[in-house]
Amino acid sequence: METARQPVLKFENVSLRFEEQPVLDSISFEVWPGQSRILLGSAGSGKTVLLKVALGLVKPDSGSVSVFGQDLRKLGERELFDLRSRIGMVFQEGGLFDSLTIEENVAYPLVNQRVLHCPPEEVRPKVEESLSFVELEHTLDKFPSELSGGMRRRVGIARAVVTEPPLVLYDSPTAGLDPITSYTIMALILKQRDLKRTTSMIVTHRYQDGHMMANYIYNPRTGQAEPAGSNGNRAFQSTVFMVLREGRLVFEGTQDELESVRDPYVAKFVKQSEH
Amino acid sequence: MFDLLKPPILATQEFYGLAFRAIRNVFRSPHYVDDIVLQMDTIGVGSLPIVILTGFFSGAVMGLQMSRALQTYGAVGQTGQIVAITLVRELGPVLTAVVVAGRNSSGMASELGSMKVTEQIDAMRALGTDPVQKLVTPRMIATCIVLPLLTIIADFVGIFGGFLIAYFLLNLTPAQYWNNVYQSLEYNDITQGLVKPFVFAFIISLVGCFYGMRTTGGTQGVGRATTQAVVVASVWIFVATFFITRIFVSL
Repeated sequence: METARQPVLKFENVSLRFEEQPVLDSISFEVWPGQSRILLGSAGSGKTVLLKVALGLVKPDSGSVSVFGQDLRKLGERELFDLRSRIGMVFQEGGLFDSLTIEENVAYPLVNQRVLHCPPEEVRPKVEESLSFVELEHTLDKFPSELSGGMRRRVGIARAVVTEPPLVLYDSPTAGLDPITSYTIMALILKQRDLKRTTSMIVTHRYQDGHMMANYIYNPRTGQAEPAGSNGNRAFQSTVFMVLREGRLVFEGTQDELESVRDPYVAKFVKQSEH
Repeated sequence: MFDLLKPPILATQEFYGLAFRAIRNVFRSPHYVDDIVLQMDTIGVGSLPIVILTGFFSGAVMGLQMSRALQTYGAVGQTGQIVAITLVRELGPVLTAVVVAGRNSSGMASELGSMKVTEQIDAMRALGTDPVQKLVTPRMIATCIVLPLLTIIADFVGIFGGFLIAYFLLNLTPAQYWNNVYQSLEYNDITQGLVKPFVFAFIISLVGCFYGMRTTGGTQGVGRATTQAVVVASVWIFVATFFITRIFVSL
């Protein structure tokens, strides 16, 4: 059990500048297996960049990033590709390839990730399974441009989880969506967490998303997200909140701790949701 | 002073980095043959009408313009030679390349640029493919294959355009014109005429992809990248043709 003893994702004093502008300022944290990390921050606080650093898409100027115990600095581009096959990433606007159909989009990691060795005849069933997970199994032959914004993000989720990665990163999965669609997306993220036991890291500017992660669980019998505690369900304990401000990590802790913080910037995120 | 020089030097370094990786990938798997064929169709077959038109009219214009100068020396019979040499050595390769640059460098820059700003390039890397391998190398290979072919077509159509002028307006016989064309072309001309499009192909594809891959700033950025790609590619084509000609003239 190598994964149980070590963090899935570990940042140590990671700093990054874009043209003299600090984007990440000595960020350190650890994500343990089974945890859900909610990363809150306003626009431009470095949330998206942090996820890209975790994936090895952007190299930090200093500090070290380890994923599944492997130091990203020591890996070549090819080894990085192999490592990325164990991380699912949901991009902000879905990041779907608009020249490919939905089926080809979801199949893309299966076909292209060499370490997975997915036999061609297993691709289609896996794609169908993943699309039915996000309830979009009827869109196989459509192109991304024919889908609504919410549907594109659901396809993005299907594509990220089709390889059943142990770690999934979500970049603002609910940004720019109406409350009902946002709820659907969050319910899917809960479903992925509770059914597949994935470790997840969710970047968002909405406190409600974190609240839902911490207090709701997916009920496989009804197929709905339900408040934890009802029907004898236990609350989901391992949700950790982090707040990022101008590249610095200004808070890390549980929901209760977050709600009792006096710092005005941090408190603003909590207040958002109270009306 | 040094701060002013920094961006262009960095850009040059990035460009050579991209060029190096694109060329290295030619010898590394995986090879995306489907993408190469698709790009050959877009660049080659797609550019065919415009290349034929440009070639034909530049040949015809050469015929018209040169006949006037040749008349002064009573050498209208040499029209075929002038048209053939200028087209094969210079106008065919350069005009074809500039037209293809206008059509395809811009196309590549805008396609890759939109992919960049909508995070599709990042998604590609996240999902296990090297975007240079998947996007840049196939475009480069495809351009290197089709541009010399397009140039040959443009050369021929241009010489044919010159023939129509010679036959109908200058009253030369077909034998006179074609014989003159055939006699005047040497291997040096042909080699030069085929080396040039091969070099231009790298310029067109790599410049287009380079500006596409470094696009930032949303839709506006895509527009900017497209314009820059065409301008830079066209200028470099003219610079490159000067140096290649210089080498061949001294051979």
